Amino acid sequence: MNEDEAIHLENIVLDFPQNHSGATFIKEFLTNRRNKNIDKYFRALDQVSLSIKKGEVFGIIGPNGAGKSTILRVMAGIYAPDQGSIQIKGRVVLLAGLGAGFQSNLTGRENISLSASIYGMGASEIRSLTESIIGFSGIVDFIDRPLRTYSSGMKARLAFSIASHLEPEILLIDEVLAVGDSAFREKSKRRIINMVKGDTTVVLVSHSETTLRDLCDRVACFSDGKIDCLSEDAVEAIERYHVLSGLKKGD
Amino acid sequence: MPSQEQVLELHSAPSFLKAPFQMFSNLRKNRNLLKNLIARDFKVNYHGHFLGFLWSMLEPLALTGIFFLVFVILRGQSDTLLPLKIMIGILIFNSFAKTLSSCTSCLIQNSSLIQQVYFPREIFPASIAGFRFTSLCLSISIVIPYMIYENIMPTVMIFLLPISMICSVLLGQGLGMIASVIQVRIRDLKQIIDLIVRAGFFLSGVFFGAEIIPPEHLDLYFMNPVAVFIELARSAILGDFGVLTKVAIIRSILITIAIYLFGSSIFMKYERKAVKFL
Repeated sequence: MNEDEAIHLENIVLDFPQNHSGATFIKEFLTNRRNKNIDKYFRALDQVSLSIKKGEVFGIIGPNGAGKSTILRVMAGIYAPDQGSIQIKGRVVLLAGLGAGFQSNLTGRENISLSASIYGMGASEIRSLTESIIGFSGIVDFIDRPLRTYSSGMKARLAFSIASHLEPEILLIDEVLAVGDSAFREKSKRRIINMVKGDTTVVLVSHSETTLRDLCDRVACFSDGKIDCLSEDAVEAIERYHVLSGLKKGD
Repeated sequence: MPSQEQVLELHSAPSFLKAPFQMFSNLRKNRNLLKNLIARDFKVNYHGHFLGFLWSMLEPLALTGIFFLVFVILRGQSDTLLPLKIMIGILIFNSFAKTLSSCTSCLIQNSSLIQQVYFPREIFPASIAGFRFTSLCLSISIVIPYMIYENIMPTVMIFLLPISMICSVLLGQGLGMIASVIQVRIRDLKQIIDLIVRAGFFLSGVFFGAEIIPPEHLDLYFMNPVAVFIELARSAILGDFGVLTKVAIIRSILITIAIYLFGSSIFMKYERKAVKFL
C-alpha cells in the first residue's frame, strides 16, 4: 500500500450464500443430495481491484444488483471478502440508510447518544457535540420527546445531523444526499460538499448524474460485480452506465 | 471509531485460541457503546410501563406465589423456606434462560444495524449479558424482605452469591454465542432451544430444593450446571451447603468457563460468515 492511498482493494471476491432454508435445506441435508442445477453462491463481487487516494472523491454508478452497495460494505468492514485483500487507512464511516440504531421509544437526545456511540464516538466526544447536533438538526422543541412522535422528515434531519458530525477520514456514502424539506436539503448539501471539498476521502454511490459530474474526481461504472469502466471523466462512466442499463432493458 | 490498525486486520478471523482475548480487547475498546446498548435495553424494556423497573421484581414474585400455591395444594409442603427457594430458583434460572434466548437471536434481531454500521459484533451478546446481570442484581433484592421476615442472617457464604449469578449469565451467553451463528442459517434453532430451556426449567430444581432428589441420583442431578448454580445461590443466602458438594460447584464453574471461552471462539470465527446470511 502506497503512502498516499486511503483504500486499497486487491482482487476482492465476495460470494453471497444462496439461502436454502426450511424444507429444501432439511431435505438436502437428510438425503445428502444437492440440487446441482442451483448455484450455492451468488458472486456479488468478482476480482475487484481498486485503489483510492487520500482526499479523492470517488464515484460509483451502475445498474441495480451490480455490487455497488456491497463494495461499500466491504470497505466499511461489514462483509469480509472471500478472497483478496483490503487495506484501509483512517476512520471509516458508512452512511447507508440514516439513523443507525434509532429506537422509537427513546427521546431524541437519548437517540443521539446511542446512535453516535454506534458510529464509534467516545462518551466525551458525544457530550461535547450533542448541542451542536441538536442545533444543526433544528429540532429543539421535540428533542426530549420520544422519537415515535417525530415526523419522518424530522427523524431524517436528526439522523443526518448526527452523521454530519462524525468527521471521518474516509466517508462512504450510499445515496443519502436528500433528506428533509428544501431548506434543510440545501443546508445538508452544503455540509456534504464541505466534507467532500475538505481532505476527507469520499466514496459515493449515486445514480444522480449531476452529483457525480460535479463532485467526483473519478467515476467507476460497476456491472455484474466487476468494474466495467473506470474513468477520470464522469461523463464517460455515465455513458457506459446508460449503455449497460439500456442493454438490461433490451433483453 | 475503528482505529487504523484495527481496520487493517479487520477481515481476518483471529485464531481459535486467541479469539477470546481478541473479544475482550474489542469489548474494552468499545465500552462506551457497550454501556449505551445496555442502557438502551433498560430503557426499551421498561419504557412506558407505569411500574417500570419494578416489574423485574414483581414478575418473579408473582411466579413464586403461583408455584408455592400449586405445591402446597398438590403436596402439602410445609417447608417455610420453600417460597424463598423458589424465588431464588426463578431469578437464577430466568437470567440464564433469557440471556441464552436473546443471545441466540442477537444477530437476527440486529440485522439492519449490522448491515449499516460496522462494529465488533461480539458487543451484542456482551450487552445482553450485561443487561441481564444488572437486572438480576436489582431483582435479587426481593429476597431481602423475606430474609428479614424469616430472620435469616447472611453468613460469610453470601459471597458465593455473586459467583452463582455471574456464572448463570455467562453460561447463557456462552451457549447463546454458539447458537447465534447457527441460528442465522437454521432459523428453527431458537424454537428448539426454547423447548429445551422449558424442559430444563423442570430439571433444574427451580421450584424444589435439591434435598428432595434421592441421594443416589444427586450426582447425575448436579451434572446440570444450572441446577448447581441455583442450589449455590440458595446455599449462599441460607448459609448452608445442604446436599451440594464442593466438587459439583467447582465442576460447574469450570464447565461454564470452558463453554464461555469455546462459545466466544466459535462466535469470533463464524460471525463473519453468518452476517452474509442475514
